[in-house]
Amino acid sequence: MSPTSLDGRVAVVTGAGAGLGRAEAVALARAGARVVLNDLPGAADEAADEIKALGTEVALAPGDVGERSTADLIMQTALESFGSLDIVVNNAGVTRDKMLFNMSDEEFDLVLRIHLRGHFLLSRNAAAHWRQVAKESGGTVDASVINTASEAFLTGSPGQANYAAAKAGITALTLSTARGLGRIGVRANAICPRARTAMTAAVFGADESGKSIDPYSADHVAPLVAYLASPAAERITGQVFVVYGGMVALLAAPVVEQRFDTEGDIWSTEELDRTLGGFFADRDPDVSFAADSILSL
Amino acid sequence: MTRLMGKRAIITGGAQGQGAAIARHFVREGASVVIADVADDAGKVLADEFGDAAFFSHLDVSDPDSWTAVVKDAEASLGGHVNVLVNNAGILRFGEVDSMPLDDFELVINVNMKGCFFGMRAVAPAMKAAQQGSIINCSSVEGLAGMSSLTAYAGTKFAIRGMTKSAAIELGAYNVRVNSVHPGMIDTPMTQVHGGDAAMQWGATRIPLERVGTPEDIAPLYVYLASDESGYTTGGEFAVDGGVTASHTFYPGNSGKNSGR
Repeated sequence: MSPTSLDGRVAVVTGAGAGLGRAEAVALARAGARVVLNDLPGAADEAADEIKALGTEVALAPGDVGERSTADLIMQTALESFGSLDIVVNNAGVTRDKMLFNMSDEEFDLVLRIHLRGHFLLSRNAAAHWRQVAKESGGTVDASVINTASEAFLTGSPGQANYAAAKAGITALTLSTARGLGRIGVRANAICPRARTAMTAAVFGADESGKSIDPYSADHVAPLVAYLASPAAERITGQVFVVYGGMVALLAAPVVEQRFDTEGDIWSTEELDRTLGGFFADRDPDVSFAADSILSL
Repeated sequence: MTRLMGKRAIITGGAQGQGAAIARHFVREGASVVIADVADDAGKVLADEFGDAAFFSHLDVSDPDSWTAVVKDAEASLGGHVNVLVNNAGILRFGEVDSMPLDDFELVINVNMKGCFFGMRAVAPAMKAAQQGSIINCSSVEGLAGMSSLTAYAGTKFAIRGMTKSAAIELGAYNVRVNSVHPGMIDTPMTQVHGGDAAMQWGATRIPLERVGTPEDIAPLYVYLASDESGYTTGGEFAVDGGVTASHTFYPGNSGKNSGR
C-alpha cells in the first residue's frame, strides 16, 4: 500500500459543506479514508452526496462546532459508524471583519468561539480518545490533526482583530497538541491557506488570473491536508505551512533579533530608553513582529 | 453558511410552508431556532430533524399569555435572549364585505394582526435591553394593494405593514430593526387550502415572472433581514412577488357584472 494512502482510516472534517472543508473531505475520501462531515444542519448534505458518489462511506455529524455537544456527536458518529477516528481536520470558521473601534462584543466572541473553542473542543475530545486507546493497547496510535490557522495571525490584518487573535490561538493550540500528544503517536500541524470561498469572498473577490485552475482554488489546499493526514508524513509535526496556488511554504520559528542586558541589577526606564531607544533610533519603525514578507509569497 | 451564527430566533408558523423553509435556511446559516406553531406534530418532527439547533414550542399567536411562556422557554433553550423574531404565522379566509361571517373576520384579525403585535410586544423588552434585534413581520402583497373577497385579510396585512413602520421608528434608538416582507402568490399549505392547483395556475398567468413562488423563493430574504448584513435597514417593506405589484395593470374584470353599464 502506498504510504500516502488513507485506506482503512477514518477522518472528520469540520465545516465540510463548502469551500475548503468540502475540498479537503473529498481529497481525504479519494485517498481512501471514510469521512465524517460536520457543518451546520443541512449544510453538508450535498457534500455527502458528492463523496458517496465516489464510492466512499460517509457519515454526517451536524452542528455548531462552538458547542461541546457537537464535538461529542462527531466522536460518537466516527466511532459508532466506522469504529475509529484517525484524522481530525479542524476547518470550520466564520468572519466578522470590523475595525477594532467598531467591533461589538458579540462579533469578537463569535469568531473566537467558532475558531478557537471549536478547534479546542474537537481536539480535546479526540485527544482523550487517543490517549485511552494508547493506554489500553500499551502502545501508540497513528493519528494526525490538521488545524486551520491563517497568515492573519502573523500579519495582524487591521480589520480582523478577532480573526487574527483566534488564528494565533489556533497556532499555539497546534504546537501544544503536537508536543503534548507526540509521545502517544499523534501528529499536529497547522495550515495557513489562501482560498477563495464564501468566507473570504470579500477579501479575494473574483478570479482574474486567467489560469486554468484558480490560484486560490481550495483544490490547491486539499492535497496537502490529505498528505499531512497520511503515514508518509510521519516525520512532520508541530509545523506551520502556508499553502495556495501550487505552492507550499514551511514557516520557521521566530528568531531573536537583538538581545539587550541591563548593566545594573534591574532595568530602569532611563536605561531602557538609552539602550532600546538607541537601537530603534536607526531602525525602520514599520518593521514589526508582523511577518509581512510572507505576503510576498 | 454562517450568516446567522449567534442568532436566536423564534419563527411563528414555523412547522410547515414558508415558516419551515425559513427555519431550514436559518439553521443552515448557524442560527438556533424555536419553531412556534399550533401544529404540534409537524413542528416536533421538523425540530428533531435539526438536532440541537432547533426546539418546538406550542404557540397560538393570538393568545398573549402563550407568548410570555414561549419567550421564556426560548430564552432557556436557546441560551440567551431572543434576538430575531419572525412573525410568520397567518391565516387566510375569503369573504365578501356584505356576507363574511363576523367570526371569520375576527379570527383573521386575531391571528394575523393581533398575533403580530403580541409577538413584537413579547420580544421587545429583551431586544431593547441588549440593544440588538431584528423583527421580521410577514405581510403580503395584500398589504400593498387590495384584492376582492380579502377585506379582512388585506386589512390585517396593511395593519402589519403599518405596525412595522411605527415599531421601527420606536425601536430604532435601541438598534432593534423591524421590517415587513410581502410575499406574492406562494405555494404553501395555507394557499393550497384556498384554491389548490387551479388557483395556482390561474395566478401564474398574471405574474410577470410567470410562475407561482415557493417557500424557497422567500426564505433567503428572511436570512438577509435577520442577519447583521441588513444592519442599516429598518421600517422597510420588501416584496417577493414575481413582479405582481410592479404594475397597475387594469383590473381583469372577469365577473362580467359590469358589462353594458
